Amino acid sequence: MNVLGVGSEDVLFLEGRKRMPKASYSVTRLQRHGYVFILPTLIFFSIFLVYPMISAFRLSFFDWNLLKPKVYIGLKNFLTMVKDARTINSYVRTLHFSGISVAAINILAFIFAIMFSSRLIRWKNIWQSLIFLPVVLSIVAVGVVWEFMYQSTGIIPVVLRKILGASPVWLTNTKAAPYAIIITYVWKSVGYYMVIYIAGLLDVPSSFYEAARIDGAGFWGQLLYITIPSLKNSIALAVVSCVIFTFGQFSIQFVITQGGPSRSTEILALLIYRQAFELSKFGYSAAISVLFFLTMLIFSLIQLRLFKSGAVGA
Amino acid sequence: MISYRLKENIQRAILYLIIAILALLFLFPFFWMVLSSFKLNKDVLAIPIRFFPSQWNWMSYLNVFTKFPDFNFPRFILNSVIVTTLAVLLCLFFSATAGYGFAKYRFKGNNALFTFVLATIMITFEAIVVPLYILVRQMGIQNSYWGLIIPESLTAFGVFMMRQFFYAIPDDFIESARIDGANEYVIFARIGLPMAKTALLALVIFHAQWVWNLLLWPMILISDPDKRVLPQGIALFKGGYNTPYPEQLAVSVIACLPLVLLYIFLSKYFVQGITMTGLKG
Amino acid sequence: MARKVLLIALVVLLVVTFTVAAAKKKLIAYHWTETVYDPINMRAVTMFEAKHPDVEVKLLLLPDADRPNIIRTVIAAKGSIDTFALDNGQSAEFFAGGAMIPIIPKAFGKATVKDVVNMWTPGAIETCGGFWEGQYYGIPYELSDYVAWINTAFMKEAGLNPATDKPKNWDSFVTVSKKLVKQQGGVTVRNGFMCNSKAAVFNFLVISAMMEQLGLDWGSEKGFIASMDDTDMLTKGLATYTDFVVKHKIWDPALAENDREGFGNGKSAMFLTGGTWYWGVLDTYSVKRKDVEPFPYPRFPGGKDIGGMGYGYCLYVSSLSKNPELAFEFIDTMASQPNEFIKQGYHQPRVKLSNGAQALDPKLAAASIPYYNQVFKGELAKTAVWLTSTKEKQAEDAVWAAISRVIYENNSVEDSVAQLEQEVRSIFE
Repeated sequence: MNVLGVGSEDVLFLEGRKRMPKASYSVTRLQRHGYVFILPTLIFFSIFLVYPMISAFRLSFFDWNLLKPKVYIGLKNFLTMVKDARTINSYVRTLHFSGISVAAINILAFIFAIMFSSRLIRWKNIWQSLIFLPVVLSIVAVGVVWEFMYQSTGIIPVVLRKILGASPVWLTNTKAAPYAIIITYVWKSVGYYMVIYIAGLLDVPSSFYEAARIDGAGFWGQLLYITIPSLKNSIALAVVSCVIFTFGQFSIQFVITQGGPSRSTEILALLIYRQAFELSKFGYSAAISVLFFLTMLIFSLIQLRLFKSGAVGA
Repeated sequence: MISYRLKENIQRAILYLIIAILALLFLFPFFWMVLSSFKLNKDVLAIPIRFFPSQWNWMSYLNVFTKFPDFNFPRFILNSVIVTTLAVLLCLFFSATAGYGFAKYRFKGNNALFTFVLATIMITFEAIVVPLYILVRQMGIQNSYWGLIIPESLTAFGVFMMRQFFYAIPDDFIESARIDGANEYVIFARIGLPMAKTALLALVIFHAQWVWNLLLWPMILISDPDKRVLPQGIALFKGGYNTPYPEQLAVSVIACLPLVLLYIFLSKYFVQGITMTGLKG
Repeated sequence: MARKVLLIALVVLLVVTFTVAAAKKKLIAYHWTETVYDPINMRAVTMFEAKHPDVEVKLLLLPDADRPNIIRTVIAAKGSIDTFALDNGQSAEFFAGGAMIPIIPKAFGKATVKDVVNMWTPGAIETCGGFWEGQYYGIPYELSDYVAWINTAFMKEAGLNPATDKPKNWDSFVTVSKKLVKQQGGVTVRNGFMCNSKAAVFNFLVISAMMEQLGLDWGSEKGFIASMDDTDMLTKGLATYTDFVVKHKIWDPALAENDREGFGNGKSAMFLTGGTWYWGVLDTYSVKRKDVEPFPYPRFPGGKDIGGMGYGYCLYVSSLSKNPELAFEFIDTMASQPNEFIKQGYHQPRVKLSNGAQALDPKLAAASIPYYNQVFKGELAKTAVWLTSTKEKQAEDAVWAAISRVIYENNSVEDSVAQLEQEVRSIFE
């Protein structure tokens, strides 16, 4: 049984019967202890996360700059938002950023995890730590360093020009800037997800691989028929959290491009921040947060159906 | 037989080559950061770019601690350590208890309540900063460690992860302990938690790096210079007119060291622990 | 019995003295941090606390960019805040929300508000944004003007004569810049001119000056809105600015982000967002003072004689302050060291201190600031006016978006102006 809840039994039984215990939610005295266990979390989450969020939602019906009293304006913020080219642009940019980042991060993390679990190499720990290193760096430092590297006289364009003869103007080109951000973000995050995949991989019993090899499966066969199915839970956890984290990502764009050039990297969380803290439109900002939250809600519902609440063996 | 060995060696060589390239790509920005912290301010951004400092500025690290009398960096580091440690411990507490409760007990509303908790993952800090500040002020814990620690200890990701893990633990151990007459909380503490050690360690590193680098919330909450945390210290370097880059980078290097050490320390247990967590029959 | 009474009396006495001693008054001041100025400000705290031993002052130094947000959040939560600093672009919003209280003359030892106002150069409080709807609220903390700066070493290198060839209008600005641009392998390694390529505010301030030179009243909200009807002038102003990048290629935004830094490191031959304080900043970069000369903003032929943007900071007392008079005394102290600041090139427009002594020594100003008499002083009388509006930041944002559309997205100036007009109208409707 590994960290993420996939055990050997589950793999064997996945394809055949569904070994799910009957969901008999009894309110016996024993089961009621469950309430006690979840109580601290429920209380604190409700007070410090849910209540402020509800306040924020309420705020979306008002016009407020924090200094003068709130003015009730009903649905006006929402009506403006739907027609606002800037918000629509931001939403599209966020989908773009999230979509590409999630794909790149997970594919790379998976590949790294497999590479660093191979029995062919030594010092696995060191290689893993190297990839994980960017994860622990402060975002301000990351922003400063990568900004230097992307500038027109910075190392990345210089090297690209030497190798390929030309380089995009990364930070001032509206088409290239989103990719500059994605590259930096992938660099910073892939280690995090690699750890999740390694945890999942390490616990696939080697007996499976032995069996497969005896059956004549080569590397790719083992990958397709043993590794990936066993990692279904890890993949679910990694992809779902990746989507959620990238959708709410703010600091990378804030530090490197400030949403520019010309709003090409102004993703939703940055717009929410900007409307509130730069343009003093706290009500409008709250309305955009509602949009953000609803998107995440819909995504979570979809993923809940796809992965059956993400827990195999529930 | 021989060709098999050869094939393996070629695979090994290719793998190491890829790893070398990867290591270079991944470490390069970090090297740049460290080297630039030893440059003079004007050299950091110079054209043509110089990888190595033309003149080694050994003073930047010293300056961080001496030249800025208002920025008490040892104090910031201490604050960060306090806040991160307590926030992580609190996070472990919430995640482990809730994860265990959701996973091991079938009570009415289990799924609904879990969905409720999970939904909070979608609440971004930016969206709730203002109402949260007002709330924290009403409680009187603004500008204090607890005002930082409590909100920063809450993550549904932790609950999610621990629930996944606890699902995987067979109920047999728990049943037998019950038959032996142990009460539920003792079972949790003596059986559930130890089995969850690796998941908890993973959660430690994930959450620690988030709290350690968090900037937005401390920025709004903490105005008292004595209580500032490290990211605020780094951000403060960006002066209105002038940014002393070597010093800012020097602080950044110092700032990431504790987390790097923590990761290296934990990853030993992590990797071992995972291969040892055999609850296989 | 008598002993008991004595004991009780003693206890009561002790309690009273302790509570009185513990009830030290507290003043919380929100300010911004700049390494060169922080020690001077801390000294003001020490001076004030020496004069008022029963008061403890907490001077909170925040990053400049975050200061208004933090102040705003604290006010919204009705937190503890006695004084704060705002620049003249930020103050209107706070005024409209009733965040500050008008000047209390008694705190300065004066009889009327007029007496207090006269301690500063005429019009200083207004320019620094401390005057609102007929009342004076703010104590000027800085008054600066943007002038143009040029690297004379680069001029000589290009065969230009620094004494005679400095640009006087925007056309010669372009011609001179073209001679000073440097390319290497198809990449610009030195801009003829540059401004900040990421932040809205600096671009806004430069183009505002240009618009005001063209006769548009961008200093007042009414004038700004009205100017949206003058499409021709808007187009001329926007085109002049964006042509620097698009047509004349004297500014490559990709070369460097920050113009003060870029100029200081030799990546640009000119820039337009420096005040008297820039000398001190320049010393931290590689370009030497002797190779640099400030000069008045170029003008438009036939346009108004207006120079770069004038701006300043004011210190205010918050409506939430529990000791307003004391708070005013404190900010008086904070603004009472102009001679210390001028040595750093930081100009505070104070003529007299509250005790009657001379505040800013004009000779010291001229001695500490190269070209003070030749350039800065003259231009200070002709500064452009920073838009005073509760929605100033939104206006700034819309203008920067208009500029960005042209320089980053290759929109035509006409389309961008049309969109700007539409956006501004909807902001202020």
